[in-house]
Amino acid sequence: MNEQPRFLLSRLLQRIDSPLGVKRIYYILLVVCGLLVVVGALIPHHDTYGMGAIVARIPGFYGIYGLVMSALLVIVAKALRRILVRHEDYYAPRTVDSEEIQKDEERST
Amino acid sequence: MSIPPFLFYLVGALVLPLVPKGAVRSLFLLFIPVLALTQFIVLPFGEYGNAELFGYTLILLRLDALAYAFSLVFSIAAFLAALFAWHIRDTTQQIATLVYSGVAIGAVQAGDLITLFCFWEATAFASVFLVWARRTVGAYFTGMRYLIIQMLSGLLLLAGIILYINATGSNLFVQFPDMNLAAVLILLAFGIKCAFPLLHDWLQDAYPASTPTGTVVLSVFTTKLAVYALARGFPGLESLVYIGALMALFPIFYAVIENDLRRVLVFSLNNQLGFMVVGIGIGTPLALNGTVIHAFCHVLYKALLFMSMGAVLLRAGTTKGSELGGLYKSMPYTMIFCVIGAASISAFPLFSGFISKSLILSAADKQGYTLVWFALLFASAGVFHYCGIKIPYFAFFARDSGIRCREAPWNMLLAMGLTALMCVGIGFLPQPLYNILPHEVPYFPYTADHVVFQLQLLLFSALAFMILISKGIYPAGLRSVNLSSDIVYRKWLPRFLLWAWGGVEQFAVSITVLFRRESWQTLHNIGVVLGNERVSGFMLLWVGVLLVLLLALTYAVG
Repeated sequence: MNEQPRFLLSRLLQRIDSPLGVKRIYYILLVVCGLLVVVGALIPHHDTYGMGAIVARIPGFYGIYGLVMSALLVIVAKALRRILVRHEDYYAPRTVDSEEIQKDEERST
Repeated sequence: MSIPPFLFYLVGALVLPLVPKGAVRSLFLLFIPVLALTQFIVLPFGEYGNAELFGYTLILLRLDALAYAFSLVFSIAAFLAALFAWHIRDTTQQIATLVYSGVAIGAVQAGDLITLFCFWEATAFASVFLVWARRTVGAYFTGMRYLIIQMLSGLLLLAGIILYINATGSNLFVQFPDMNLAAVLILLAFGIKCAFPLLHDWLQDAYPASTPTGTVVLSVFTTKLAVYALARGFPGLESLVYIGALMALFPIFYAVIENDLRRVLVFSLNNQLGFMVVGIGIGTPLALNGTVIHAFCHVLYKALLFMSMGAVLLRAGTTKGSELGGLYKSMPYTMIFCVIGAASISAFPLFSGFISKSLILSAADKQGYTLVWFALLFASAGVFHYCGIKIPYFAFFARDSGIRCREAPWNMLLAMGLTALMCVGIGFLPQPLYNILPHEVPYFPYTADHVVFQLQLLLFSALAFMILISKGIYPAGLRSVNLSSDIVYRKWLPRFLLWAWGGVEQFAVSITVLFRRESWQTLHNIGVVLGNERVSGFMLLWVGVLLVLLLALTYAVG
C-alpha cells in the first residue's frame, strides 16, 4: 500500500494511520481526559439546582459516567445482538437490505 | 398580500415537467424555496389566507414563533436538499421533493385542524415516492409498509379531529384542553409520525431504503412536523417526558449493532426526537425553547450527516459498515463534513448541538426529573459513541476496505459545506437563533463548567470507544438485520393470516360442498378468470355472503 492519495488532507491523515499513530492518539486522549478532570474540579460551578449541582461536586463525575455508561452500552448491545441478529435476507425479497449495490442513474453519472 | 408559501411549492411541482431538464431545472428547484421563504420571512405574526369550507374557517397561514421557527428551518433544508440533488435528473424525485417540502411547510403553518389533516396526509403521499425512487422490489414493499403506517396515522388524526370538532365546535389547532378520546387519538396519530417506541419501526425501515438524495429530504420533514404538532397540541403532558426518555434510550442499543450506517443515522434521529419529546413533556418555557431550537439544529446536522452518507452511497455504492473503511483517502472533504455533523449531533462545544440540547437537560433537572436527566445524559454519551464516532470511523477510517472512488460531486460538497457552516455558525453564535424562540428565557450555554463537563462526558466516551475497539470487544460490522417490533407485521402477522386463511378456506369449502358443489365451481371459475384463483374465488364468495347479509339487515331495519 504505497499509493499516494490525491488529496493533501488524505496524505496528512495517512501519516497517523498506523498502529503507532493510533497509540499516540490514545495517550493524548488520556492526558486530555486527566486535565479535564483537574480543570473541572477547580473551576467555579454555576448550577445551583437539582442533580447538576450535586454531581458537579464529584471530581470527574461526567467523565466516569460517560466512560462507564458507553462501555455498558456497547456490552449490552453486543449481548442483545446475539438474540436479535438474523441473516441479511431474513425479510427478502421485501426489503432493500439484501439487495445488491445500488445501480441507479446516479451511479452512472 | 401574502400568499401561503406552500402554494409556491405546489405550483412549482405542477410546472416542473415543462422546465427543461438539466441546469435550468436544477436552478428552478433551488429558486422555489427561496421564493417561498420571502413570503413569510419578514411577515408580521398573525393569521392570513383564511377560507371558508362547509361553515368552518380554514386558516392556511398562521405565523407565530413556533410556526416561524419550523417553517424557517424547513425552507433552509428544502434549499440545501435541492442543492444536494442538483445532479439528479429524475422527475419523480424532483416533484415528490417539491410537494413534500411544500406540504410540510403548509402543515406547520396551518392554523386549523382540517388544514392540518390535509397536509398531514399529503406529506405521506408525497414522501412515499422518495422511498420508491430507488426502484427496486425491496423499495416497493418498504414504501408500501411506510405508506400504510402513515395512512394509519392520518386515519387516527381524522377520527380524533372529528370527535374534537363535534365536542368543542372549534376546528382551531391549539393546545388540547383535556385528554379525552379525541385527544388520545390525535396524540397517537402524532406519535406514529414522531416514532414513539413501538410505533417507530416505519422510520428505520423506510428511510434507509431511499436514494442517496431522497433520504436527506425524508430526514427533514415528517418527524419534525410531528414534533411541531406535539409542541402545539400537547405541551406539558407529563407522560411525554417518559415516552421521550424511552425514545432517547432504546434506539442507541440498536444503533451500536446496526451495520447500515444510514440506518444508524435513523436510530440516532429517533434518539434525538426523544430529547425533543422530553422537552415538550416538561412544558416549561425553557424546555419548549429547548425543543424548538433542538429541532432546528437537528434538522441541519442530521441533514448534513445523511448528505455525507448519501455521498458515500453514491460513490462507494453502499453504506454498510462491514463493506466500508479507509474512505478518507478518496473522499476527504466528505469526511470533514461528516465529522462536523458528527460533532454537532454529539453536542461538542462550538457546534450546534451543544447550544440546543443543554436547554432540555437543564429544564429536566430544574423540574426535578432526576432519573430522566440521567437517562438523557446517558443518551448524550451514547449518541457520541455510536453516531459521533462510529459513523465517521467505520466509513472513513477503520480497516482499509480497498474502495477507491471519486470525491462527491461539486454540488454535494457545496451543499454539505453550507450546512456544515450553519452548524458551526450556530454553535459559535447562538444568540440570533435564541431570539426567534417562542419564549423569552435567557440562556447562556458557554459557561466554563458546562463546557468542561460536556468535554469530560464526550472524551471519556471516546476513550471507552478506543479501548473497546483495541480490545476487540466493539461489535464489528456484520452483514445482518436486527429484529425489532416490526417482526409482528413483517413476519408473524402474514404467517398467521396465511394459516388462518387456510382454515377459513377449508371451512368454506366444506360448507359449500355441503350445499351445492356446482355453485362453488362457478365461483371458482370466475376466480380463475379474475386472476389469483384461490383468493379471488373466496373474495367473491364472501362478498356474496356479505351482500346477502346486508340485504337481510336492510329489510329487517326497514
